[in-house]
Amino acid sequence: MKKLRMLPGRVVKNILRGGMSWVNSHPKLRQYVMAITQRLGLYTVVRVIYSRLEGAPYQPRSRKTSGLTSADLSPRARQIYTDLKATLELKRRKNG
Amino acid sequence: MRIVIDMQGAQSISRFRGIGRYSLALALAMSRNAGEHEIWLALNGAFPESIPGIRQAFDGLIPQERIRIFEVAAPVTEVERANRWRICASEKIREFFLQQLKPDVVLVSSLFEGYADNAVTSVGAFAAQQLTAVILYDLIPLLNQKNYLTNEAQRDYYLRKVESLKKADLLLAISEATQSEAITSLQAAQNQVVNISAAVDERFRSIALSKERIHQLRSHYGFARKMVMYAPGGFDQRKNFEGLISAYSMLSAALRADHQLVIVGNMNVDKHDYLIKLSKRAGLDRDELILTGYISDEELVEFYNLATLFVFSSKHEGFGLPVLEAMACGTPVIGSNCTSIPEVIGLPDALFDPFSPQDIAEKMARALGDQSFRDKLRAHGLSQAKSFTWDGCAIQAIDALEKLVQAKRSALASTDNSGTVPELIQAITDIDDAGKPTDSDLVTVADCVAFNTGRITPRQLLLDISEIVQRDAKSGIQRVVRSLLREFIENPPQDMEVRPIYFDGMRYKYANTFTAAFTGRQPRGETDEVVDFCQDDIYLALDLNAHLTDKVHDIHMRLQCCGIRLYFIVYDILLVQHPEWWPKGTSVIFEAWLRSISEVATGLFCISEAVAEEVRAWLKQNPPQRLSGPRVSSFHLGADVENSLPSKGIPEGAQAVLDALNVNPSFLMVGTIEPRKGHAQALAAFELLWEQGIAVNLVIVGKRGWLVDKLIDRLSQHPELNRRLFWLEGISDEFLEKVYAACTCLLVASEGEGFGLPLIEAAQHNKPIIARDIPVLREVAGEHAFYFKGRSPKDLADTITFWLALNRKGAHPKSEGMHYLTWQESALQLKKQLGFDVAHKGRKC
Repeated sequence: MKKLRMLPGRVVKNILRGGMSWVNSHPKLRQYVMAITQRLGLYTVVRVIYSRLEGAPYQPRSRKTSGLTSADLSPRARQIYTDLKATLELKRRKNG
Repeated sequence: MRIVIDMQGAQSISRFRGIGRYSLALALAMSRNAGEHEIWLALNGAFPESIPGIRQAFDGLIPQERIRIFEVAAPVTEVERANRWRICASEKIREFFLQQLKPDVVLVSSLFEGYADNAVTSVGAFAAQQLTAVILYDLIPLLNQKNYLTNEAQRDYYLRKVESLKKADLLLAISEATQSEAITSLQAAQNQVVNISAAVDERFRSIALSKERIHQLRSHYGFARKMVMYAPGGFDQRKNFEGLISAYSMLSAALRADHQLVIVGNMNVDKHDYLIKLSKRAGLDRDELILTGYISDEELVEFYNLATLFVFSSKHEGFGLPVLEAMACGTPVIGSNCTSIPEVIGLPDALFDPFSPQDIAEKMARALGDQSFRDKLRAHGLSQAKSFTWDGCAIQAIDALEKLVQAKRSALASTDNSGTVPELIQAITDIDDAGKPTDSDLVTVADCVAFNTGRITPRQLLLDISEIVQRDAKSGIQRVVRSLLREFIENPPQDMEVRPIYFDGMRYKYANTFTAAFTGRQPRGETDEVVDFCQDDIYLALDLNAHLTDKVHDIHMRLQCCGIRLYFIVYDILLVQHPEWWPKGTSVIFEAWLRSISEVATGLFCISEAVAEEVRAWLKQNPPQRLSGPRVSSFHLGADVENSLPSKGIPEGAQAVLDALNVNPSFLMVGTIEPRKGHAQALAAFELLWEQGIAVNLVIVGKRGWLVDKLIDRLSQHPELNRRLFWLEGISDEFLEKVYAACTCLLVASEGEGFGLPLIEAAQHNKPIIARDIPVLREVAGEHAFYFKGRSPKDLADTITFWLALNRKGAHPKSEGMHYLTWQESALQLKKQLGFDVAHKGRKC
């Protein structure tokens, strides 16, 4: 284990890449590995590692709501947004 | 009567607690006992992870269309003061949403929500006329404010909820004690609060544990003696650990030597240390008190069944669910004589004064030392537990709601109860005491209101054509996309609006510009607007957009949660079955897409039953992380070339080629030159035939693909090229028609296909077919092709020789009469699988 830790990161990465590539080239083995990692609850972790090694970003699920801009709105939503702004502006003027 | 149940109690942080179980179990029981009433569920979209489970729980009980999602202007956690305006706006948005469902009454499963998550509850914040009932679990913080409402934010939050509670038309209390507390502390009218009680699910029952299992539990949790159990269901002061531990220390040495006190439930380190300190102070040995920490529900049932005695020393409960759970498991139970606990236990002899350790100790001593008393407690507990059922709770709840609606109907009949969006906008802009909204708040609110209110226009059938909008690669898939798109636009399903859409890298947009060019009609808008997704819309991905997976997966997840049905066409899954047939890395992208769609799709439409079978097998080996997988079905592609928008053009020298093909029997291969298509085997087979002096031509129509460099070299430098070997690269559909006519037989040597359109094209030209014996080709061609096996050149050469002999006798299988669909019929099949009522039939060549 100590020896493994002493290896440079890129060597470990290359070993992992090689291993994954070999598994990848054996479809049945790969499906078996996928099934096992899913059963063990490790699929997400493995997928993240795999994606990182392959350079493909893995995005976890998240909700959209915050960080929206008016460019993200459908025409109907934009109309509501415009009405909201207009009503607020009217109120502001009324209140001086 | 339409009852809309706000299910946030089963979605929020509470879903991990008794409130969550109660909310779900009661709503399920109400659905089972609804009779002529309609049950609708309102779910908060801010808890997407809870939605699939709730949908599945109600599957078959209520139509999925009655499960409606609403969005709130998150973040709206009450603990953050900065969220105040968004909370107030969201309360109005939610009430407006509920109003749009036209309920006779709204039932709020849990009002005291949203302090630390994005749950939003209120009564009378917008829809003051709306009849609202609330499940009331307890008012313990209100009655013990010094202990429970210790900080200002908590206090403000709780008291605001109490004000909402007071506006409710009906409170459904979970015990007589809570009912009584509500009447007293809220000054509610007697008939305004009804006890509907509570129940436990069927998991809590008497079970026999094996010796091995008992040994496992004992060694894992460190108890060796008989168990005196307490499952407090929380660790606040009222749970009375002090009284219980003190009482336990008063037991005789003999009883203590025979038993251990086991406190079950999750607790933090501070609580753990506190209880250890308490036990030390009471003079208990370290091994006399066992603290299990978190245990699973299954283990909880086992603990109840193992316990010699269950002691419930709490001083204040809304109901006291652990008491009922223990009794249902046949555990002898003693408990406090205050609040709701006596009505749950139902046996005065089993009660003690929780404020007197001496009284608790005496009752424990009696129960532990007297077998006949324990037998009595056990028998009574089992019988008493049977009187608490979810169906009973539901019937009482529905009865109370019926009475409420009947009583208020005449008063409400004259009131206009339907709010409008302008009214909502006015109400939101009238929020004065919660700070000012930012522009981002207004955007979020507008987005929520638009989603929640839905459209007046018909539902949308959204056809995702993200790939073809960017570029038409003229691939087989894109030919399908074009053909189906045209059919759907020309003949939209009834009451649906067909809208082609695409992903622009940030969001989905209507493909207005593309559609105008495609149909030759006026564009629907000046620009491609952002898609207005609404519940009940249908999304169908016609294109294969594997490269977009990472960007669209979360959007698809959200759409799925929001009740939009998502369907994908699966052309084949060869990339995961045979990644070696494609350039390195291609299969990774495809597999990510397949995994993504298997997680979000309502259904996968495969272009043949063979592909559907393969997808089902793949899903079995790679189960998606969801409660139930997508429905997998198949449809067939159309094959009427005239409706495939064929390309035109005859190249120079075409006639010379056609003339050459007419000289000898010519075998035609159609499709991109790629490893799976079997071109290498075919070329080698024909070289053998030519060596044997057999006069035959091999005609390859198809573009150069990938991983075929050597083969391309062989083809382009072949001595028979343009003599007996012809390679026609990138020819138009018009010229292909003529090539078909000039050839003798279609050769399909492919080792993997999604459908096999050239088989039908050959049949339309009355050309015989030689095909590799694989399921999909058999599915398409049936008895109308001559099949071969084997991968060696000789296997195929022998097949062709044999076929030529059959052909000379006219005994080869004929392609005439092969069944196929037009694109119109193909689209009809697809529409049927989308749930539209259509009839379709195939035709014969």
